[in-house]
Amino acid sequence: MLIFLLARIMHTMLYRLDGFQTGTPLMLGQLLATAAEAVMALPAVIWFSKRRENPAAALGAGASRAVSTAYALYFTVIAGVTVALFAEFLQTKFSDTVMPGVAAAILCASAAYCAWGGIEGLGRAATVVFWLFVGMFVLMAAVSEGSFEPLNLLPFSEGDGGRTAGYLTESLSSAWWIPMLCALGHHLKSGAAKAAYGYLIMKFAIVETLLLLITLVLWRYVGVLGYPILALGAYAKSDFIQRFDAINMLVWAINCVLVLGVYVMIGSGAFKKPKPGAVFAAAAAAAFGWWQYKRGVKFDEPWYICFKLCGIILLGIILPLTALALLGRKKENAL
Amino acid sequence: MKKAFAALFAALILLTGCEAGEVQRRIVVHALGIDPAGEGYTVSYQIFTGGGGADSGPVDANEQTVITLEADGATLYDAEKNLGLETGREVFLGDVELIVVSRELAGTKLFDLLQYVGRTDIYPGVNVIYCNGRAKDVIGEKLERGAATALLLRGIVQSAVSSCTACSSRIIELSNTVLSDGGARAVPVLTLEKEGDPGEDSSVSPVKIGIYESLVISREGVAGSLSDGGVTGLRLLSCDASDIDAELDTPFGPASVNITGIKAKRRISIEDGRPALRVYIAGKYKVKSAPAKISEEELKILCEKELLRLCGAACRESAESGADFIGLGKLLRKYEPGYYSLNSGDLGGAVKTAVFYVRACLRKY
Amino acid sequence: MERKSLLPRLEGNISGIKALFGGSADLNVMRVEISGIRCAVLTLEGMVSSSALAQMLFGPLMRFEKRNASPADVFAYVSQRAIFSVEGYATADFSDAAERLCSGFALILIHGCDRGWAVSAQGYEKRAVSEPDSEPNIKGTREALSDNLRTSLALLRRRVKSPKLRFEFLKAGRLSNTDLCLVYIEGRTPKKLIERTKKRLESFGGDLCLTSGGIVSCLSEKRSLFSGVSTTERPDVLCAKINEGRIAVLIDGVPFAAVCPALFIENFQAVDDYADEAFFATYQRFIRFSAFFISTLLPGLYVAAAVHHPEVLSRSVLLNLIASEERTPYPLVAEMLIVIIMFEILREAGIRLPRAIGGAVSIVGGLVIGDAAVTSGLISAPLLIIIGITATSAFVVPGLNPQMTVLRIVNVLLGGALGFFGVAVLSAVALVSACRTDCFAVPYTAPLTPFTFKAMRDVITRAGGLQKKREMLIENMNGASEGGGKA
Repeated sequence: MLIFLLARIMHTMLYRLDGFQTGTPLMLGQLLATAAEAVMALPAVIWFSKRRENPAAALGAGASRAVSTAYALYFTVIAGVTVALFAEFLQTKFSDTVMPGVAAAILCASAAYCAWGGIEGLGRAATVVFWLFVGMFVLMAAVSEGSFEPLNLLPFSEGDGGRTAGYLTESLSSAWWIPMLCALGHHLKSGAAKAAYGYLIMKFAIVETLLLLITLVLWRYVGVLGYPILALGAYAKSDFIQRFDAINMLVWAINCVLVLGVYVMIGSGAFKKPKPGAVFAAAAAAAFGWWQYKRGVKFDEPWYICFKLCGIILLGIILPLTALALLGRKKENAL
Repeated sequence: MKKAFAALFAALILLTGCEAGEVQRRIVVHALGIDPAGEGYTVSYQIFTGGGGADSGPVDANEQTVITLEADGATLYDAEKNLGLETGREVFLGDVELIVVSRELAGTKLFDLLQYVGRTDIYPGVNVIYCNGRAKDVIGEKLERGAATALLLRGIVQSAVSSCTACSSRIIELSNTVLSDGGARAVPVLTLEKEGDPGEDSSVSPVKIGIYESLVISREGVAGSLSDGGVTGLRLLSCDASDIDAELDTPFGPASVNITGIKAKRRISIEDGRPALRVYIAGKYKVKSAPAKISEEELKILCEKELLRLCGAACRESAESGADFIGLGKLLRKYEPGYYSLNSGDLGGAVKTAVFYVRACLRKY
Repeated sequence: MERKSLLPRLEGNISGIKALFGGSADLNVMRVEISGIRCAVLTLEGMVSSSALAQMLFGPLMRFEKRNASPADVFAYVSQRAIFSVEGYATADFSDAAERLCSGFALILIHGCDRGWAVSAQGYEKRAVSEPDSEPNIKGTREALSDNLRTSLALLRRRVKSPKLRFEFLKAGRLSNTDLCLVYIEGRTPKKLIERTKKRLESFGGDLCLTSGGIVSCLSEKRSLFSGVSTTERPDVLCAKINEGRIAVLIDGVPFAAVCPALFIENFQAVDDYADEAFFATYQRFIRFSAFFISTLLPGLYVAAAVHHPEVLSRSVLLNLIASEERTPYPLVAEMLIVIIMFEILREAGIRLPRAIGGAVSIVGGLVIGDAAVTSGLISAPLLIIIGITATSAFVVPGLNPQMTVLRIVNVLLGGALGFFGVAVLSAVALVSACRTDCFAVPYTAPLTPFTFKAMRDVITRAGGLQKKREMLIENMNGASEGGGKA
């Protein structure tokens, strides 16, 4: 569950919106997206309540292989774009620190190493990284010099419908945790339902809290800084730490390695041997990420949103639905 | 494969990081002073010069360890770049404590400044203030009080803000009000006048240093000015004042009071087609010194009248300038969205016609 | 390998054993005649006690008199009627006989008998029970495990006076044939763990087993930065660990026991925690956790912040840093590496040299060289302070010293080259490396992650109350009882 959450936080971190406007339309969009995701996750949740194996396994050996390849491609692309967006972030905010190409290569190499250890190591590390996030936010809040401005929170008006719809679409396309659930669900000890709905509740609470904080404290200044979560630390200052941007980046980078490790691990599923598979998937993600960085990828590009949505529908909804139908037919035949 | 992997990793690490300079190769800037120079800027940088050969003991920014350097540029980026070229070092702005802008630049090119500071390491909580005269003179002044000018000036601004004679003008606040919402903000103006002939000695003690005025800045430029009393009124009307000192003229002589624990509530409505802001101010007053003959009740009434006077000054400036530094636009947008959407194109007109009802109710501390 | 049986001829047996030892000079052969039957007592020099032999073996042997005694009579007397020692074994082949001799037994060979009798008479020189130098404490025991396996077993038995404390002997090392002893408490340690440990130890492939390192790597499941097997030289710690369901391996000739499964958080626990008040022990744990992070991360973060992210540093720190760095000739990263390596050399010298000289080296290194380096402007004072804090912190958590040392140096390199990004990448890799380390299905990072609430009362805090409430069996620390934690 925490892996899904960290992947979502990673995605939220890499939002880059110049002229970003927060407020109730976005908060409403998030609410609607969470409700829709709860419904979209149902087939996967039902499947894992019946069987403790990947839904692709129900399709037979050949189809299962094809599905594994599809998963690998899907998550390699997502890993690549994540790498590109992170490199873009480093280039924008820490241009003197590390070259984007080197950063991309190091991220993918580290992700490959993390993927070698399997999902258990990544899952356990996710708990630590999650608490690291919590600690960072608490620390930033404790030393923040900002104050709340309730007037920034405007009621929803008719003219905000377009923004809400746009954010809803974008948010839904960010729901690749559903295909992730299908790929990793059989590892979940606590059950898919608990993980899925626990994730949705936590995601909703975290994202809405972030949006509320940004709206009340920072308002439109977020647009100047570009990265909403980075902007959260704009007012934070203490006698020990003058600026929190680099501290934020440190935690982001840890999270990025971990999340990329999960993507690479799923990406290596298409290979018979996991270790060379992880290296190959990581190398592919690095190459794709570098290409995307060079061509200036944006997280809200239409092709990327369509790609993500198609993956969610095919691998996260249709695949478990098909597996459920096949399972039902098998039972009927058995009777 | 593992060896190749490790070699690649090591090579990547060794290939990078070359651009980063050593820490002592950076110029640490404590304050920026921005003056106009034709179409561009002359920027004064108060910088740290190093330990000055001190062998031991802590080092801090003081008049021995800071100097002021100047650089010209068509833009602020150019000026920074030129400073770097002149000194052969990388300019580090992460330690900037204050940005002083010449009054001549007030209202113009504010967007440039905010955009510039938003993209540098400058802490967004840094105050931007205007100054009478040249910013270079303020930044380069030696105040003979031990600490560097930047720190002293920052202290002066903070004191003025906490005593409600100036508004906080941090980069984030300026950005959010002036640039984003079509609002306005009262930016403090620093006054620094010296005694004697400035040509003789540059380190003479100033006789007058402080913030006695604020300029109302909107997107269009300077919309007006507020005295320190007007700023206190503005802070009261904006529910942003909690503690103020007041000097009262009583029939028996002057009295000093401290009004503390101030709580204000605002309510906006539309009356006769124009905005009406009702402000209720409550608090406690503490007598510091007062003539013996004056009664408690009289003192209370005088305190309340003083609050109304201060608010009146802000209201008058608001009505005259049409600049929304009180935040009427935000109130209207939230509580009267219909009126706001109709008048958002001419918010200044709405502000000019707005009526204010202020009620103050104090009790003795 | 074919085991060659002993012969009925005494000379043949003696020459056979001599051949087996290759004429080794420490093989003593003492020929005696018992009731007219030629016999020989074989021992290895220094492995047996001469006085014990004289009292318990030669005395009774010389007293045996029987007319027309046959070799079988003598063997029957030696093996059944005379009680020379608490341990005695019949040997029928040369290999077994040689092994017994190597273990400090005296071997009695009788002419006309194709068997020998091995009598336990170990009496080699051994060190007295010493203090646990590597795990000192204030209020705990002053006894450490001994090089001598039997002494170590006695130290354990004295602390756990229960028949449930079990010792099982194994051998390791093709040439050394070292005695190993599995120690566990019946009913507490899972049977699976015992079986798997035995299997692992049986697969020990080395010729010699001279240190605990070989056993630790034999028991470790994966190669990783962190190990799921720990070592201790304290008998009280060992007893506490096996009481939690762990298994320990004692090695003859090594005063350290290997214990598995080991947890990351155990490195932050000390014997004195249980002797002090709970609140103070909790505070000490906090100090140890802080010391770990300071020792691992501080130099790297310092370099990264100074070189790449000076905006993080507060004004006074930054200005002092600049003022002191202006006087030094080397780049900060190089300076940091030089000081770290210098410190490591001094530490190594302090360990290897005799204690009296070791202390002098520390003084010369720490005070004289450090002061001279700062005064001459080679090293900046803040950097020396950072290394001083780091080095002191490293001593607080000795169990993780190898990991901390390596991570510290790599952190400095990555922090200098890539700033906080480099530190973050290394931290992520180290974190995942620790999290994926398992030992016999118990995660190394338990009970922090996977989280086990019940075990937390003895992790970050040391909760007060009854000992019973604190104890938790190691097999339950996989997070399963708490409903997951693994994705």
